[in-house]
Amino acid sequence: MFSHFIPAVHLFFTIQNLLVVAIGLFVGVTIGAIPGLNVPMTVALLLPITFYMSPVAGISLLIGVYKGGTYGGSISAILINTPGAPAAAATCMDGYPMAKQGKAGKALRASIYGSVIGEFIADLVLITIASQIAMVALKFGPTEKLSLVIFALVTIGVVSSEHKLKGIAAGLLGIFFRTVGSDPISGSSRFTLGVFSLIGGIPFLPHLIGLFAVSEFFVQIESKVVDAQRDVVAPVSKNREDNYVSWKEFKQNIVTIIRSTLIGIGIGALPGSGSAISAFVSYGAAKNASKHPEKFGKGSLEGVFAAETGNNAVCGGALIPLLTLGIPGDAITAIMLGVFLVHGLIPGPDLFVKSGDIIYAVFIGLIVANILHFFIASLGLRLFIKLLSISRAILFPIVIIICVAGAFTANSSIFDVYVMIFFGVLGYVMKKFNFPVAPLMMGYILGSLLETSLVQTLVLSNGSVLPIFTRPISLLFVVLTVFFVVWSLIIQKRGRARKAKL
Amino acid sequence: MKKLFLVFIILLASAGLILAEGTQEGAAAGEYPTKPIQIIVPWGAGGRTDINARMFASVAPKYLGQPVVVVNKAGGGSVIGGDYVAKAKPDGYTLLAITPGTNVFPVIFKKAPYGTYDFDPIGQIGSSTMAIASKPDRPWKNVQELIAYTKANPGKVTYACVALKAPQLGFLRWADKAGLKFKHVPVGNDAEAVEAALGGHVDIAMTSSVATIISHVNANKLNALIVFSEKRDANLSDTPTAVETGYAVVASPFTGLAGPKGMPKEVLNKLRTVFRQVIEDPDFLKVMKRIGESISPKFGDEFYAVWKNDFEGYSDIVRKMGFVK
Repeated sequence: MFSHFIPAVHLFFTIQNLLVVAIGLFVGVTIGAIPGLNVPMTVALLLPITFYMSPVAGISLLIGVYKGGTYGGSISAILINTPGAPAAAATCMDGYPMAKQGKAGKALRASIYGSVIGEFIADLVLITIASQIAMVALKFGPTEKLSLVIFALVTIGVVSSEHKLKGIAAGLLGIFFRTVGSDPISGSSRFTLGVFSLIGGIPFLPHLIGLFAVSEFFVQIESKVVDAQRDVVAPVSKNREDNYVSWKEFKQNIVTIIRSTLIGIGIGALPGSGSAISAFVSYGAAKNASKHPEKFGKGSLEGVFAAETGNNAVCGGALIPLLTLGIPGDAITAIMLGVFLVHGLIPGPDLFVKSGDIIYAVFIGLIVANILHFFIASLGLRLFIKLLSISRAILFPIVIIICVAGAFTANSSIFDVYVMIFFGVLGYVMKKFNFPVAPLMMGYILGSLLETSLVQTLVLSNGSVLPIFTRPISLLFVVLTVFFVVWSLIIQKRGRARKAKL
Repeated sequence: MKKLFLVFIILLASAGLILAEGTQEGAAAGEYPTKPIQIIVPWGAGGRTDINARMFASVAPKYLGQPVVVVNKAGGGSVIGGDYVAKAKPDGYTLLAITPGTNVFPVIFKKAPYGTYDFDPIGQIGSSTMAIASKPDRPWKNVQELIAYTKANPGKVTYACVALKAPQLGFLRWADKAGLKFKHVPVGNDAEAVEAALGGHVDIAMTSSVATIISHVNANKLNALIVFSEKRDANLSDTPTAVETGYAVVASPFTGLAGPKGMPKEVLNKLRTVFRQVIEDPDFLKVMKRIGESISPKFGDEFYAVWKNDFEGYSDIVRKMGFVK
């Protein structure tokens, strides 16, 4: 390792590389913050540019975008209740209530601290014990993945609302929406209603934008205009303590941050899962472990820390299977794999031996990106928080135009815009009847993994579901799921008892 | 500040939309081409097909005298973009970056809204090498032993690959000729197949490109058993081709260019000429080499012969296996 370190330092520390990382972060944060523009698309469009850079610069650029984008989603999630990226859906649940209470500055700072620390620890883990973790990740076969998905779905359904049944119903609806299109085994088309455009399933990006951003737009239209001149998005508190995270608050959240980081690394290292899932599982775990679970969903600082640390720790985690096995864990790392291949670097077991210098230079890039991330995000915060003082009548129409453009551009398809509007209306109706929308999206995201891993399990076991209970890792998740449900019921009961006493 | 920035973004976005729409109209007079040409990529941005198309589009204007715009229309495993081009006006202004999935779809689905041969072939840019690989701890070390083992244990050996696309159909053609029965475990993409094999959850990974397994083969984590190309792969020189095993199947998923069926002769000829010029252009060769893409060009009818060979093979196996829907 150390033999590679000195040449790697020389390889990384050039003006060009530092600049490229900073640009990547800046682009990432901006794209991440705008609902409708997404990180995988940006990374794909930047890809051809990286062909003309050195491998270290090219990969550093994409890492900057990846990290910045995963964090950037939290900005719009906190400020206007629309996650700029799927990973930030969990951040909405407490970030937006905080902003409404005038604590936007505090929430945004918590998001920065959580993201940067989560990333930093995840990167250290990647640098030191990547291959060991990859070996564990390989142990996750179809059965293990199936029980993990069930665990994640139950967690999300249970924690994202006070009405547990409504949360679970929304999750099931999401799974149902995922079944639209050609089924992954036989290829038969399901629930397409004869619409050929649906054969590829319900497109993800329009679904996400509609459900979160467009529905929020409808909610905003409906809300009363008190003073047309000063009808701003949310007030910003004048109190210093509402805009900063105090050392005491930070100390109270250290356990949450570390727990979420570990969850993020673990989920990131498993190909096929990702940052949105990690954010929710971290959020759920934090709520269950919290001394104040009743504050979750109403502006809990812990909730923001959990979600944001959980989703950014995935960045480091997702690089583990990419670098050690050559298996990309999500859409973004899949594109990064392309950059490696283009430069004649084949990720996999022999990468570290053959191109150790370059890999360690990339590792240095990861750490440098963390440091720059902190400064760029902190600078941007001053700018972003001004968004709140814009009149809603100006801001929301602009947001909606970006949403329509974003839904259209990914596939140049007007059908996708209709899909967005459909989910906008659906999201609005759900919000009206107090159904949480986040579980629907998570059901949709996890639905395909649920189906394929279930089918794979059944094929391999000749139609028996017993392996879920007989394979040790799988059994662990089953036990965790049961524990989780029971525990959250106990908490709820205690909360009610406490309320009754008062 | 932020407001200004947003306005700027919107202006950019709307300009993009107008430009994209603008290519649909325009005069038809004069010699082809008189307006920009669109290449529809039926996959997402950043994939292999997309990169090939973009590289092609960056060089082609030199010979066409018109800009070439790449538009991604992903979904349904290349079916949605394929359908769009099959139904486009055959005037040479809407082309398709074609991969086998588009043509295989109508072979399986009787109700498909377009047909396998609803496209005019222009040329093949390249093709990838399909291969199967196993973990070294399985009871076979090479393909002969695999055949012997599977004959003795029919339906026991599992293979992971994407369902009903070129890899599965290619593998089944081979298995059918060899009289072998395997158990299929459907996965979402090549990487998942390799992952399942590395983790020991399945016996065989069937992948559409050797690039996904080379590193593991070099590290002795996987044994490459067969490649499905015409000749042995340069990176896996010890691995026999399917033809060498005595059960001849040649199938290499191609990336090429096609247009809707029924383009005027002079338009098609012009496109084929330009295609050849681009493929032989030193700049194009340089970028493709740089991005590690091997080029195996096939022109016009030669490309059509590849289609015929592939799709007849696929039709047979699809009928035999009862996949037709």
